[in-house]
Amino acid sequence: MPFLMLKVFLSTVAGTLVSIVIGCLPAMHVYNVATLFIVFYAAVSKSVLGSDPYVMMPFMMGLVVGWAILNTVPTVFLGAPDESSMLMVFPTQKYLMQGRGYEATALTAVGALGGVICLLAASPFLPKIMPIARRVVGPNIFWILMLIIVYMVMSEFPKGGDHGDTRLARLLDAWKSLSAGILTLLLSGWLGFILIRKPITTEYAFSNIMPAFIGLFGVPWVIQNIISGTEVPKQYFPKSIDCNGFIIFRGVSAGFLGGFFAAFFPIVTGGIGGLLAGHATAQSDERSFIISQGTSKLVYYVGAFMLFFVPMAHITRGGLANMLQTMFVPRTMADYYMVIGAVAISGALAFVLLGVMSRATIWLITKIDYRYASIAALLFMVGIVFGITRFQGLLLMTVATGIGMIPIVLHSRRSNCMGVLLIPVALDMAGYGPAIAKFMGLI
Amino acid sequence: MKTNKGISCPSCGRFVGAHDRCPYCGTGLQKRVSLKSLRYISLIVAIVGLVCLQLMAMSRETPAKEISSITPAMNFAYIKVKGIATRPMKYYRTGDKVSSCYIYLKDKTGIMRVTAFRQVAEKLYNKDIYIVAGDEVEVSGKIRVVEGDKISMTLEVPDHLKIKHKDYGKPQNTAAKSKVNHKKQIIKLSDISANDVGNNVLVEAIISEFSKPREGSKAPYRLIIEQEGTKLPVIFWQNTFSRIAMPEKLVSGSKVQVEATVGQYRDKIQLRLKRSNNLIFLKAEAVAAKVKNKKSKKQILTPQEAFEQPKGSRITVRGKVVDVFFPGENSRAPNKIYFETDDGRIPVVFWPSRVVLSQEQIPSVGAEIEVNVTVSAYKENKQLKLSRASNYKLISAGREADKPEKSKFMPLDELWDAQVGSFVKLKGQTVKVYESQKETAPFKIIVADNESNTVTVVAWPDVWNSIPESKRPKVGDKISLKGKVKKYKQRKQIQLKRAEDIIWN
Repeated sequence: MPFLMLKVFLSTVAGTLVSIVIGCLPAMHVYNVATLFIVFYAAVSKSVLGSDPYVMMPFMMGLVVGWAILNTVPTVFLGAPDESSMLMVFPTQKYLMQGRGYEATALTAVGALGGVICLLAASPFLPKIMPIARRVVGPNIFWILMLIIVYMVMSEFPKGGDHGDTRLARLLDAWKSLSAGILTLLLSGWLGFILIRKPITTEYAFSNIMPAFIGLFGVPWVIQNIISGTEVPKQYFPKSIDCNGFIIFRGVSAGFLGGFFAAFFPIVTGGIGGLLAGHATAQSDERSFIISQGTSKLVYYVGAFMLFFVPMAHITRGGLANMLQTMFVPRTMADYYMVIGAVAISGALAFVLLGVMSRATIWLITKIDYRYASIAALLFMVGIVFGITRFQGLLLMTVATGIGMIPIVLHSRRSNCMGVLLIPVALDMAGYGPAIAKFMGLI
Repeated sequence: MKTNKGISCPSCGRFVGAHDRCPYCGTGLQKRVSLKSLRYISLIVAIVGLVCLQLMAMSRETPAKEISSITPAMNFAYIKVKGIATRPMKYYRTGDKVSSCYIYLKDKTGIMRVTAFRQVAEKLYNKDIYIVAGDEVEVSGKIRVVEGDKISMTLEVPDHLKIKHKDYGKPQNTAAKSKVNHKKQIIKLSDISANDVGNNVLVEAIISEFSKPREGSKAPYRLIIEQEGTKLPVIFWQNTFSRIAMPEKLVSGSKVQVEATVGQYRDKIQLRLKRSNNLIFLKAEAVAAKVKNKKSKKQILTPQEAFEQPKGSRITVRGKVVDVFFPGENSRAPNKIYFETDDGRIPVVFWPSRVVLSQEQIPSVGAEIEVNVTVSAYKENKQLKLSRASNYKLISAGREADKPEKSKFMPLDELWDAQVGSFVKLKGQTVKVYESQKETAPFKIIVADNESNTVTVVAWPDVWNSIPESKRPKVGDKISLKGKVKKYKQRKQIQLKRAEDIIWN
C-alpha cells in the first residue's frame, strides 16, 4: 500500500513537472502532448513492461492540473491562449502592457487555486450527484447545446457603428464583427462536419480533431505574435495584488460555475462556460474576470477529467478522458480518491511553480525577443501535426488557421471557433447529423 | 509605458491590439499592411480550403478494415467492416419507441458489436430489417474502442447496413463457413420429438396463437408456432417476455425464428424459450402471403357447428348474439357473449384483462359477430374461448338498448371459485330466511333464480338489524342485492356488507 501511494505521488509530481514545459510554451495544448504520451503508453503496455494505470492516471492528472495553471504564463506574457482562455487575453494583455503581467498571473493563479479548493470541496458529493445529474441532463443536452450556440451568436454586441459618413456605412461597420462571428461559427461547423464524418487519418482518428484545434486556436495567435512585433514594457513584481476577498469570491464562484458547467456538458469549453457564468453573474470588474477565467479554465480541464473517475456516473468529458478510456476505465472509489489526491498535490505544486515560471519568463522576454518563442511554438505545432497526421493534417491545420484568423483580424469572439464541435455534435445529438452529413455527400 | 505603433491608440494611448479603430475613443488606427491583408488571406484560405476538404472528403471511399486491425488509436474513425452475424439482431425499446439495436459481427480476425441508436434503430425497425446468426453483413460506421480493446461501431445511416441473408437451402460461403461456427441448423417442427428433450433447437415458423397468463397466475406465456401443419407451443416467463423488443409482433401470422430447449409437459412436447434474444421476428412479407393464403382457406362455422366441434379445436364462428354478460371491472368472472344452438346456449368467454373490446365493438343482443376461438369446456359445459381482441369482429350491430352495462346481474349458476373475494350483483326470489339465534351467527337468506339455482346470502346481525323491519326480505320476495362472494365450508355464499345493498324489485 505505501508503495502504491508513493507510486501515485511520484507520478503526480512527474506529471506536474512535465507540464512546466508544455504549459510555458505558447499555444501548446495539453491534449496534443497527451496524445504522444498515450501512444507511448500504448506501446509500452504491449511490451514486457506491461501497463500500470496507477502510474498513467496520476501522471495525466498532474499533467492536466499543472498545465491548466502554468499555461497562464504564455497566455499573459506571450499572448497565446488555448480555446478556454481566449476570453482572458484582452484584459491580461492590458495588464502586460501596463507592466502588471506578474499581477495578472497572480490573479489567475488565485483563481486556479480557488478552483482546486472548490473541486476538492465538491468531490465528496460528486459520486452521489453526478449519476443523477447525468440521467436528468442526458436527454436534454441537444437543446442546451443549441441554446448555447444561439446565445453565443446573439450575445455578441456590435463593435463600431458609431463612425461612417452614411447610415449604410455605419450599419456595415456595426455588422462587420457580428457577421465575422457568424461566419466563423458556420465555417468551423462545416469543418467539424467534415472532420467527424471523414477523419483525415483512419489510423490515428483519435487525434483527428487535434490539427483543427491547433489551427483554430494555436497558430492564429502565434502568427499574430510573430507579425505584431509588440515590445513588452518593463514588468513590475508587486508584493501584493490589487483585489479583495469579495472580488476573489465573486471571481472564483463565477469561474467554478462556468468551469463546471463546461466540464459537465460535452463540447462546451471553459471559455464558453466562463462567458456564460460571467454574464449570468453580471461580471464587470477586470480583476474578478481574470480570477474567474483562472478558476474556469482549471475547473473545466481538471473537472472534466475528474468526472471520468466518478464511480457509476459513466461521464467521459474532454479529449483526455476520451483518449484514455481506450486503455483504462475507472470503476472504484479508490480510483476516484487517487485522482482527488493527485489534484490536490499537483494543484499546490503548480501554484508555487507559477510564480517561479512567471519570473523566469519575464526575465526571458527581456533578454530574448519573444517572437522566437512563438516561432519555436509554431514549428513544434507543425511538427506534431505532421508527425501524427502527415500532409493531410497540415492541410487541415492550414484551413483551420484561416478560420481561426477571422475573429482575430475582424474582431469577433474567438469562441465562435468552437462551432467545430458544437454544431456537428449538437446536430448529432438531435439525430439530424447523419442526414446532414449524407446531404453533404460525406457518408 | 511604451506605446507601440499599431497596438496602442495614438490618441488615448490605450492598448488596442489588432483593432483598426480604437474601441475606447474611436480614433482610426494606421495598421501595418500585413495585418490588414491577413483578413483577406484568412478568408480566402478558410473558404477555398474548406471547399477543397469537402471535395476530398466526398471523393474518399470509406476504408474497409478487418476487426483485428482496429486499434485504440482508431477511436472515432469511420470505417467499413464485413463479417458474419454471430447472434440475431436485437431491438431494444424505451417506452413505446425503439431506442437501439445491436448486431454482433465476426470476421476472420475478431468480433465486434455494432449499435444503432434512436432514429437509425427506428428506421431499421420500420423497414423490418432483421439479422439472424450466420447472415453476411457489411456495415460502415464510427468506431469506438474502450478498455481491453473492446471494439464497437455505431451505425449512423441505415443504408450503411447491408445484409445478405443466409440461405439454408444452398451451401454456405465456404470461407465464412470454415471460420464461423454455426452451432445450430434450422430444423423442421415435425422433426422434433421426445428424443430431443433437453436439446437446443433452432426453428422458423409462423405464430398461430399467443396467450398471456392471467393476472396473478403462475402460468407461463405461451406461443403456438406452426409450420406445415405441425404446431408446437413455445413457453416463456415474465422476465423473458418483458425483454422482448417487439412484443406487439407476437401476433398470429408473424414469422419467427426461435432457438429454444425442447421440453416435455404432461407428455406433450414444448419449446422452452429462455432468452428473449433467441426469439427473432423475420421479414413480414413472406408471412403476409402465408397469412393471406391461410385466411382464404378459413372455414366459418355456425354456432351449431361450433357446438359440435371437439375440445381443443381452433375454429371461426359467425352467429347472432342472444345474450351478453359483462360482470364489470371488480369481478374476476369472464365476459360472455352467448350464441343460441339447438342444444342450448354456448358462450364465447374472454377475460377483460386479456381481450379488451372498445365500446363500439361490444355487441348487443341481435348483433352478428365473427370470432376465432378455441373450443373448451367448463364443468362439462362447452364454451368458446376468445384469446385476442383481433380474433373478434363485429359484423352487424344489434339493439343499442341491449348493450351490456358495466354491472349486470350475475346468473346464480355462474358463481365461480374465481369470484371469491369480489363483489357481485344478483337477483332472484327469497325462498327461505334463517333468523340468527345468537350474536355470533349470521342471518341467512336463500335466494333462487328461475332455473332453481340457489345461493345463500348471509348478513351479520349488525347489518341485518340496520335494515328497517319492513324492508327485511321475506319468503317469496323478489329482490336484487350486491354482496361479496365468500367461501364457507366449501360452499359459496354472498355476504351483505350494508343494508342499502338489498334492493326491492
